[in-house]
Amino acid sequence: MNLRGTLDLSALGIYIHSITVAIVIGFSITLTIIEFLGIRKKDASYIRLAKQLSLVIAIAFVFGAATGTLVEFGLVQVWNGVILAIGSFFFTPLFLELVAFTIEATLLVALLYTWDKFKNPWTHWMITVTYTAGALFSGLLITSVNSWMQAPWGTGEIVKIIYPWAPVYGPTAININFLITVKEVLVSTRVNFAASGASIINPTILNTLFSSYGELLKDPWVSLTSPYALTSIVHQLLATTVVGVFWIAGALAYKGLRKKEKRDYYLRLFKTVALIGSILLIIQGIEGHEQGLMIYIYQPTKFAMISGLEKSGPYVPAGLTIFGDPNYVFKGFDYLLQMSENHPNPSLKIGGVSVKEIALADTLKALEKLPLVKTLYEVKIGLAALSLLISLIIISSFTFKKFWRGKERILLYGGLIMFFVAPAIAGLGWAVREIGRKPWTVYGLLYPEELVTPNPIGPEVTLTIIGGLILGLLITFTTIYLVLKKPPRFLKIGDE
Amino acid sequence: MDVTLPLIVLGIILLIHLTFVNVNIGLGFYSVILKWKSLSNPEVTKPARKVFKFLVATEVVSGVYGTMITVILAGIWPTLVNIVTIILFIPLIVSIIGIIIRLTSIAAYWYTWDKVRPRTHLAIGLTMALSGLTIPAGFRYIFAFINNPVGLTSLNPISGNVIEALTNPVYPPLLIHTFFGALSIGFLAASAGLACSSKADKTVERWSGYASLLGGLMIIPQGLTGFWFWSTLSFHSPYLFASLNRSFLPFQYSSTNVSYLFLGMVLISIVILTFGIVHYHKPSRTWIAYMLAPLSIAALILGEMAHDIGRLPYMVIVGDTGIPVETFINRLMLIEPALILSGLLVIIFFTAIFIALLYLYLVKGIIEES
Repeated sequence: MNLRGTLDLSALGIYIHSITVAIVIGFSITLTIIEFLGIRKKDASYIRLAKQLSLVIAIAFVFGAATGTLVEFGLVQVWNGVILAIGSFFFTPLFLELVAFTIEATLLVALLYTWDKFKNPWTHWMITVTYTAGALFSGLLITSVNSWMQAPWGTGEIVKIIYPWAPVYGPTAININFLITVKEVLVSTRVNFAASGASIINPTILNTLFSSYGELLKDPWVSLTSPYALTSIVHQLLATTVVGVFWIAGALAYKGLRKKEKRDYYLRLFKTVALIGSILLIIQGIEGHEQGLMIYIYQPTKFAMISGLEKSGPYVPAGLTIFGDPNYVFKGFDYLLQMSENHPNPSLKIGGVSVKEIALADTLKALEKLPLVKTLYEVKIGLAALSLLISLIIISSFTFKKFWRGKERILLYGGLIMFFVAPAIAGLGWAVREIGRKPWTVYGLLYPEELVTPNPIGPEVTLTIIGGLILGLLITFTTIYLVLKKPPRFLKIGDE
Repeated sequence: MDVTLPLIVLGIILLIHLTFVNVNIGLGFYSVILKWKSLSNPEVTKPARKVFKFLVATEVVSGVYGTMITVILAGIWPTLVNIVTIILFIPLIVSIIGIIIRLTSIAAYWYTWDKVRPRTHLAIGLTMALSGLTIPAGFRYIFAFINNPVGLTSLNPISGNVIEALTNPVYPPLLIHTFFGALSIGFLAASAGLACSSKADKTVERWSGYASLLGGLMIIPQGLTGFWFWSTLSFHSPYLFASLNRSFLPFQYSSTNVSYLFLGMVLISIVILTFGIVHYHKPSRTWIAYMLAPLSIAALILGEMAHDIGRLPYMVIVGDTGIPVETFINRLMLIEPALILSGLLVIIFFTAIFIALLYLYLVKGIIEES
């Protein structure tokens, strides 16, 4: 399989894994709120829903752990070169993730099996809250890892040395000579031997570099202090939660539409859950501005792709929200290419190739992605506008109760639409995030071809992994369906 | 960088993982054996189900710890992982496929219970049990590789022959020895669990004794393949062989002496074999089952410690010498001991809670029955 296929396989793995992530995180937040309401209002229907949610989370968690292992293997085995980052910038977040993962797994079992076991129901709720905090902490750490690949915080001016249009990525928390030498060897291996750079991440080279320069990374916490990561964490966790919440709302809406005799029961639950989703979606919209700002500052090529700026010019939404000026002229690819052409260090070479040449070639490769990224982004924004409208309608049902009396079916249909629209927005957003950072895997620093395994990946491996993921997903959904249809007796879920 | 803490962290996580994995593999087989027995004796269905439930619960822990090992290895020993993932590309793919088949077949075995013809269900169960073996079938290559790095031709750049790596002579005895060990541990864990259940239900008592017998008898092939593995090491990993025998065969040189760990494992195995047979004949003596399960885990831990500490101060053995552990330690950053220790403490604390919950769920049965 070629590099393109390997990238697609990794993307598929991540998308399938993200389904379980949305369930685990989105359902956990909803569970925490619904259980709170159930205990506070002494409402059995809320508690029933909370118990059902805990069951679904447990099933999704197991499948999530399995696909997570595959994604992790994919990272280490197919993208060997990433080990360089796992041993440095990613180490602290990934190690802490293990802690979060253990807490999450243990407390999930605890919350599932201690329903109705405590005299004081708030004790159980505290387990739920702690579990949810563990799940969010886990998501936070993984997002910080991905964010470092978007904006390699702690590398200071290194990227700017190669790409004159690039920003400075925070303090220089690295040993510049160490990183430059690694990059030299990677480029040289790729250009001169047409081989993956993964094989040069070996003890001989790293120990020699260590003897000459000391450690590569001076601050192991640096990836967690990046402003890009902090914004992304909020953005991604909100997006994931919104998807999960609207999946619950959509399922309740479906039940409400199907079971006329139980419509009031499901409508009440639907409205509560949909309200949570709608509020979070509006917050997400506001926060999206911050995420956009980070892209503007730290990923000039992605910003130009999103705003379709092949040539410099105004981009009204960003001009208004960032500078309060719809006519503000943003720098497009023409400017980025011009800056590369007028490189301040044209004689500087990496791996025998001049940085000017590298900057020009990579900026042009980024430009090739503009039509795709722009289209994905615009579809996403269009769907986001639709979802905002539906969210406002849902919120209005709490303020204009008389108006909505007798028209509840519209709300339920709105919930059904959101069941599909919310994940579509998140999926498109993730595609923009990932394709938008190309041609690099680590923005401005490392290419996919430098990190991929030197071993060929045969079709039998590809098909087995794809088949396994799809089969696993089918089993997960079957399990969820069967378990909800006939819940375990110990949960005492009761009737609707 | 001092390698003591990284080695301790890797050791603890690895031992917890291997304990649960071995229990898990053996439980899979015992559940299928009981299912097979239930075709002629419906009374056996109940213990077969109990053993399978036990398997499902322990699978989660082994999975969680498997993930941890990958992160710990890649984070603390990055270059070793890179070498292994390149040279042992095929075995690791086998393990990944094994994980997929294992998880899906566990789910299939669960759902089809009483839903399909008994013999079909048995076939699904057999797939589930056998798939458990495919995971160590891949991963055990890593241990064989660091005992005897077949297939590696160059460290800089990393290159080798991925096909030749499959021909490692250390691998077959190590793998088969592992299989019998896993069966023994899993059967004895099942025996302890069923012994506890027998307080409330005397019909399962017999199957606790039967599990002890099988678990005990597995020591015989395990011992034979262990001898095969031991003698293979003398040719292909002489340093490790010397470490294992330093107190008994003093003409061999090794700076590490794990012969007492090795001897301890052998002695415990003899006790397991003896008491396994005793418990089969006296299944009402539940204390024997309670003793055998931890003893089998102790034997596993001693065996793994002998195997892994025996390589020190090397990480990869090359004949009478090797490549030192320090060569592979992470040189990309200074790893903060405080971070590692505090993280490890939290992980162990929550694992203990998890095991306690497992105990409540499986052994006490208070949750299930309430």
